[in-house]
Amino acid sequence: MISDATLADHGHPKPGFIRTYIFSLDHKMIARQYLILGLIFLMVAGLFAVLIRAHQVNPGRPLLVVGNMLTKVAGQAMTGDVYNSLFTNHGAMMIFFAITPIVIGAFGNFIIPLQVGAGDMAFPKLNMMSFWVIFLGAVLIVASFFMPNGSAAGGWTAYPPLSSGKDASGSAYLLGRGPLLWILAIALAGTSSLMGSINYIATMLNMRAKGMTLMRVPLVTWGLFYTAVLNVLWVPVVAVALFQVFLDRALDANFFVPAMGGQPLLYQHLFWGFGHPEVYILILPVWGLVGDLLSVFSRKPAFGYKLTVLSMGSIVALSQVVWGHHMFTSGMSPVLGNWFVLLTITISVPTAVFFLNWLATLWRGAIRLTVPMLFSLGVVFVFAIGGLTGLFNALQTFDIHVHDTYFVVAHFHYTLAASVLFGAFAGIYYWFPKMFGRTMNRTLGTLHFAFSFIFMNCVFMPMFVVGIGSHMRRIVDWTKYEYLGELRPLIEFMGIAAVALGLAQLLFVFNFLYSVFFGKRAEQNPWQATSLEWVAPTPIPHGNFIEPPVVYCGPHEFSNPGVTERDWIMQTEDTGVTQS
Amino acid sequence: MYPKNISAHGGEVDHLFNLAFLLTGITLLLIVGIMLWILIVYRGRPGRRAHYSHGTSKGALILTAVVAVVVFVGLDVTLAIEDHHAYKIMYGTRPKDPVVVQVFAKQFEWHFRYVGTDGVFGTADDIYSLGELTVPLNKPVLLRMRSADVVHSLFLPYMRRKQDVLPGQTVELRFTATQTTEQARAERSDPNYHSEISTIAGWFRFRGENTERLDWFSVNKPEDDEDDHHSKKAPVSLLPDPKAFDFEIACAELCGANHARMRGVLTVRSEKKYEAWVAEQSKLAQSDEAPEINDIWIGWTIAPPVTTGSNAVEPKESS
Amino acid sequence: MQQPVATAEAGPSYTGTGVETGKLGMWLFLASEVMFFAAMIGSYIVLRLGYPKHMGPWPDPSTVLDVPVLAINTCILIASSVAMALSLQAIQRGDQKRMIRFLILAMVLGATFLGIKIWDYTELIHHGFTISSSLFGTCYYTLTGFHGLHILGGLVLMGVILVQGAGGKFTAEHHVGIENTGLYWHFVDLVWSVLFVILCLI
Repeated sequence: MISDATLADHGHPKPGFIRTYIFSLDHKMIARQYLILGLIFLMVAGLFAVLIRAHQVNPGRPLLVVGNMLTKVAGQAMTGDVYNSLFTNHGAMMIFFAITPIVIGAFGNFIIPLQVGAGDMAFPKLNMMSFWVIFLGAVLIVASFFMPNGSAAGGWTAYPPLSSGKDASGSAYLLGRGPLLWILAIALAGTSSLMGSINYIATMLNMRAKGMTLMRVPLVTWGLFYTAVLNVLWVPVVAVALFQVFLDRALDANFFVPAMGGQPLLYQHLFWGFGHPEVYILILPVWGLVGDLLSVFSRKPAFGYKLTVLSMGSIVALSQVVWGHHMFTSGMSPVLGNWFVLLTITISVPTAVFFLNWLATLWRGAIRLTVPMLFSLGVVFVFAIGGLTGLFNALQTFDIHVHDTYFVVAHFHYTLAASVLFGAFAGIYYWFPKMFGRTMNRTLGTLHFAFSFIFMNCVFMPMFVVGIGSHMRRIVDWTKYEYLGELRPLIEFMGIAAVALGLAQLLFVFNFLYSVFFGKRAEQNPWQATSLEWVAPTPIPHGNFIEPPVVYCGPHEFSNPGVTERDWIMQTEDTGVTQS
Repeated sequence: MYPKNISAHGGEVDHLFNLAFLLTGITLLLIVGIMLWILIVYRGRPGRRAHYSHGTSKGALILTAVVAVVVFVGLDVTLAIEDHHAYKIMYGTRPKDPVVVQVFAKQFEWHFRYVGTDGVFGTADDIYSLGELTVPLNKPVLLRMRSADVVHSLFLPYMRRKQDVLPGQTVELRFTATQTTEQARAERSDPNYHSEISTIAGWFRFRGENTERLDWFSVNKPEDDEDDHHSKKAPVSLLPDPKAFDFEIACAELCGANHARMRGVLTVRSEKKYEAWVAEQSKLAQSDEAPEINDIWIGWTIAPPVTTGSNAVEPKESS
Repeated sequence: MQQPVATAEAGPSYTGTGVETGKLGMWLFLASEVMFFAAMIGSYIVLRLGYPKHMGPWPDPSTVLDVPVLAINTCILIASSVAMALSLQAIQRGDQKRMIRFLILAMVLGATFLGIKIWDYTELIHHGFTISSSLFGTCYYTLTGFHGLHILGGLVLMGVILVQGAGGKFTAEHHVGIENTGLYWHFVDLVWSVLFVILCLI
């Protein structure tokens, strides 16, 4: 049901255990559920990534410890089917079950109602359902591994006819029914995003507190709002594409069977129609978050707030008409290709505005290098690399050379893995005190940042070189090609760095678990930030605010000369000296 | 750029890359440089207060506009023009009389077919080849490609070219080779020869000799160990023998379990040697020793009409 | 106990779109539904226009489908939509009995549509026209199948509304549930009209 009454109407004053921790209607608890789900999948999919890189170091031999678990015959090296399944699920889990739940599910649920000054989401029951739908999806994607012949192995992009299983090579992947579960799992994750997005948009538009005009909403909530808009529009499109694959596979439909007149290229258009907005779906909240955090920790108002909101909006618009740059080699009309080149590189203009605003925010600030700040600065660096290498991929002729090579892999890992993940860590370290009422250890956090930053670059920087060296992605054994032999030192280096990157995350796992139970009790506003979530008491009660907040200024009132005893003005303070 | 280009159009792509690398490199250095400078100069100290500004002044707007215009013109338009230039060379005018080769992609093999001596496909003197594409030097080559099952992608790393082969479609790929396999072998046999990648990879060569595989993360196979302990063979270089060097063809689109094995070889011969090869193979094809023709070719018989126009051509021949 | 500031039904929202939150949610949901069916119908158009010439012309729908029955079925669904509209009109006037009567009528007509659809499927399959027999079959069953699921979802929704309405939940001032159900039902009806035209007539 869409028009739910809220907890305040029907909830009990003191709900029981199940109502509090499992089928909770409270957006803060749902956010914590999303966070935990996302972190678990982040670990699983991250482990897959480490296995992939460790395997590539010496692809002819079985891996240590796990080698025998991954093959049917003991002592045998990883086969193509297993390897394909590993990277397919690494991608799918990271995108749909790790990054989406953390950045959109957890942050979105936790932050949007708080930052706009609402008591809860617009539709709390829908919100609860959205978590349990993605949870069901998570169960299905895990279950797909235990089906005979294993899970999906056609890449996260799942191009048919390979993914729809319409050929006779007899590969295990083509015979299995696990991929059907995999498709359902992704569809459920998408449905969950859709439900969440409807909630986010309705909350952002209709639930703002008095005085909270749209131009006073913090940037991260703007990012989440734009993300929700893209989700509402494009998740249904990928659902259609995946259902078509599903029907081809399960019921012998003919969407992608050329002998019956089907068109495999159709899938690619539908998929990338969603697929390109999807990368912005994931990164828009992070852009907003970085904009906010740079302002908080340089104690300076965000530079060009309105322009940043506008730039994000223009990227949302542009992102929907550039999908063709994923298909320069697909046999699509080259005339179309030229338009896609032009539209794609135009995205660099709003992106340049971001960088200008970020740097100008830092300029003449009083910078505090806290852990969230370090990760935000990390985002600025890795996103600069990811964004600039995106230009290379937008250029048709060069893209034809590096398409489906590690160059592309390195590029989207700089934007998605490095940028979004660092953004996610920044957000976790930043909101942890509000979420769990305790603070995370700063020393461990700083070490976590330092190691993550170094090893992330050690893994993906050489990957650009490897990609330009024409190393195809998704091949189980690069030693089959002689010309790739020269890349060996780089591949070995990436393998070692990937294992080290994986180990560095243990610092975070320990810090997180330790701090949840034994961390120092947090104050109400530990970062001396100004937005509404820091007005609410810690821990936040049901209904969030003691009394309905009234907003008098924008979210970045730092170092206002009108107030001398401290350098920040809460959004709820009526000082009369603010401009925004 | 690596591997070394051997195509007429590849130089344009390399040039485009160099230009893009230069421009984006400058941009990156600017961003990182300014950021580090700010972090050092404006680090928080007790008693220091940040400058209060929302960046809404006229000056800030002008600065934003200037940055936007500089990025748009300096990066975007410059690169787009260069890209369009390369694109025209790659796809532009269609050669008058190309050497046409039909390509059939099948899990996990590349099949090639040549007209033979009579210049017509579908006759007895057609040359069939599995995994080896032979083309003449300095003559435009036109590949007409189909797929028998899933999406494949013909990748010519030495040509900077790649084309997806979708089932149900006939797609084209054009190139002109500028170096023969023989020349490449001779070049690589020179002890002073080193490719650019060796130089870059050399920086990462953190553990001495280049003859052993790193095996920190993998199990030693028992038989490997026996070999190592008993026969005590001298370590063999893992780099291939330059005298047996071949240009390689790869499949770049995931096509199944053995995707990594879908390798082919590109042999470039001088025009004379190419013609001799065609004559010899044509003769062989009509002899009793001719290899059996793969079933996939049944139904693709008519010589392709060379039309002008787009890159992808709908199947005009029978199918 | 603290009270929430603004919620879907209770509480004022100080700054907002002016659209009731529940209805805003339904419009957002319909926006995504529009994209869903746009992608579905778009796929059908692409597949049909790109049908390879050597495979012959696209089959004439009237030779495959039972068009008169489907036309009658279309009328039934439109009638159901009208009943739904009358039901909403009734509650706007505060007439609960009339609202429930028309709601039941709308449900019966919707269920009839679904029943005829199932009968139509069995007949077609009996005549060898299945989801795997041709590309047209694939498109026909996928489009009408997903539409049928939406009808089913609509019937469930109407069932919930019916139970709530019988319990006296809706009044002349407060009936966003019926409005939303009506919006959804008209949308599903509209989609069917489009499907009927592009699948059965052209």
